[in-house]
Amino acid sequence: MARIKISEFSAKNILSKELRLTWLGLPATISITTQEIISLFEGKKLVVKVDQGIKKRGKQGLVKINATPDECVQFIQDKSKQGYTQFLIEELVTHKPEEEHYLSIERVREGMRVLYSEKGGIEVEDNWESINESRISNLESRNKQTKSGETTRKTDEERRNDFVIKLCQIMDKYHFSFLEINPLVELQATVSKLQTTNFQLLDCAVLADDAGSRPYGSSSAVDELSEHPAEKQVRQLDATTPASLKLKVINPNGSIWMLLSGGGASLVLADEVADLGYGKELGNYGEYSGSPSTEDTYLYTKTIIKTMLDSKAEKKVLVIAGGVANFTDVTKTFKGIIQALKEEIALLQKQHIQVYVRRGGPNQDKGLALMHKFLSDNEILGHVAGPEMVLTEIVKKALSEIQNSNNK
Amino acid sequence: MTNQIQISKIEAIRNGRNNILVVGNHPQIVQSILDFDYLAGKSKPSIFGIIGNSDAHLKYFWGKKEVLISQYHTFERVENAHLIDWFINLSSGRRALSTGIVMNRLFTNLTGGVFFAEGVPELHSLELYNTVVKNGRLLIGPASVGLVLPGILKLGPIGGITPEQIVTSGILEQGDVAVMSASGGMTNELISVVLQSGHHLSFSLSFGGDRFPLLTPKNAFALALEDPKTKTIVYYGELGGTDEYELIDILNKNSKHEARNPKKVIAHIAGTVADLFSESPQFGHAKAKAETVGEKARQKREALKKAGVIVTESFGELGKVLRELRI
Repeated sequence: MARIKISEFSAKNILSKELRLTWLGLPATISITTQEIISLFEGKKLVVKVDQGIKKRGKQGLVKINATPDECVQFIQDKSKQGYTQFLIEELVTHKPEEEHYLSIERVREGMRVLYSEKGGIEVEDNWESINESRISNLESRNKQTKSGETTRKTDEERRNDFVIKLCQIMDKYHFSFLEINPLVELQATVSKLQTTNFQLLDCAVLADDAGSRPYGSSSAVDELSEHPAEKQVRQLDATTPASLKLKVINPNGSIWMLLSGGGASLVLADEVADLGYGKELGNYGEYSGSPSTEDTYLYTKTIIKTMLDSKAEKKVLVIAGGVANFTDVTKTFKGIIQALKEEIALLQKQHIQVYVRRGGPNQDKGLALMHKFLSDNEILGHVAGPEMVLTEIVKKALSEIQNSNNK
Repeated sequence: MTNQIQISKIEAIRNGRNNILVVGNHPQIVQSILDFDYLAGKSKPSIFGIIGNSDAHLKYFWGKKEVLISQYHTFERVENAHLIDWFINLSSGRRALSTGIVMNRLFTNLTGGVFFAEGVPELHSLELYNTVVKNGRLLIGPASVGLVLPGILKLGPIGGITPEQIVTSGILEQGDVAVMSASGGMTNELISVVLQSGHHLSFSLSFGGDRFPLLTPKNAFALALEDPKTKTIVYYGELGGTDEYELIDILNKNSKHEARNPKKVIAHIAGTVADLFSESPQFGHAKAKAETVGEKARQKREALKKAGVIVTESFGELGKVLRELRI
């Protein structure tokens, strides 16, 4: 569980509803037509952008401002060719550059950390010294209610503070952990002789707490950019089990492939590969933990093995490693791993892939013995060790095999 | 504000009664606590009762004999609530907040408890922190494998769940090395490294890999620094978050007393692999993602080094450093 990016469309939809802002946006994919855009926006000037939680979109050409419906469709088709899948079309808000401000709010232990700058927009990083930092404690954001009746007598700054407090309350309600609005446009207006501020959220990014309830639906998460099919399989598998299964393909043609267990040990083991200078040859990062079943471990292993077999690297090794587990049963999980290895044994042998194992935990002796027998019977044994071997030593052993083959 | 929190001292726990209420049944973990008690030579189980789906008496093993443990359908039905010192919450992450609030209200002599489950919403953790922790309870987690005081208290799967593990992991024998870690698996790995390098534990705990641990690394450190039995602290942290900078503050304050009370601190901060990526990926633990430069593993390592901590560059060095310590 962690903080996840939700789409700008979902974020703005929630925020504009809660803030009672008039905002019109259309989530779009490659299948969008000019007619659909026209029927919603009726001749208005438009903005079209990639909506996948990417930072610095403006500088990467992932936003087109003042576009016609035809240009929106063209933009989406062009960007789809580069692998982007989610877009947002919205009405253009005309304003002066000096009306662009920066606002971000992040949940921290002491409450909310608020960053604000008069100078927003895509050059905000050049104006970093103009940023003001303040904190709002939990109590304040809940108890201090914005009183609409008095708004008109407030200064611009007081009205902005009310706006920030209101945003904090919305973040609590929807389990948002981070909100960034850049630019935030503040249009001062006089309505019936009274001063008001009209806030417009031009670009916004939200990180939501994955563990929190999401009344706005789970489909609000952004598509991962260029997600590897194996990553997708593991993500879907992870969603169906109480255990934790993670996979990130780093280099599809890597030579070092890792089947790791435990959030911490997996990080330590991946560090070791990178620290010894083999980062570029690392095929993947991933981990299984929380006592997955034999079946889950089998399916997870199968995905990694298939990805490894597809790698075009000349020499490949598989590292199956983890710390001394508290409660994940070594025999149970190793049975799943062995089953998956067995199914691909012909290709593993053909590609001369050696397997290096280091693991401890409940029923480790039986699990390690099973693994040793299987690997040695099938002649793919690199090394099998228990907790008597230092955790990271297994990486060194596996790397020395890569090194030897590089030297040949 | 965190400075005002007064939580139990490790030495007080060693001398305490340590009765446990288990919330949610997880037979393997419950049995492992009973095995620990039995193997430590205690006269009776530390598990006082279980909150489950009915009122019942559940059969467990006490050595080779059977023992009955009371299960209660609700918290209100627990008899002699004033005798409960600890809880371990084995139910789902979404129930953590209600469990914590009820335990705090009904069990007046409660020392604290452990939240085992992952998936506790950040808001719930913060609410528990602002109410129950500030009320003086020692809460550990979420996503924690627990707390162990060798031979005295095993609150969670920490140290293993089979009798073989309990015997071989060295958690029955008291020593002077405190192990604390964000990762449950690494806690146990470190316990194993400590034993293999010729030492034993004074205590060990995992604060869990969530964004807002209820026992902050800083407060966990304070426990170790104040503990007369602890001579060495082994700390495992990861990229993400800024907890380690708080540790440095507390270490700097402590260094004034160092002449009288010298404690060595050894730390390993994992996550240098993240530098291979243009944007830090999300690793296994919820907190394990660096959003800012200060949250990167290398920056944390440098800062800890400056504060006088022995920082290992590779995890393999840890055993070496520990072996060189005087036993």
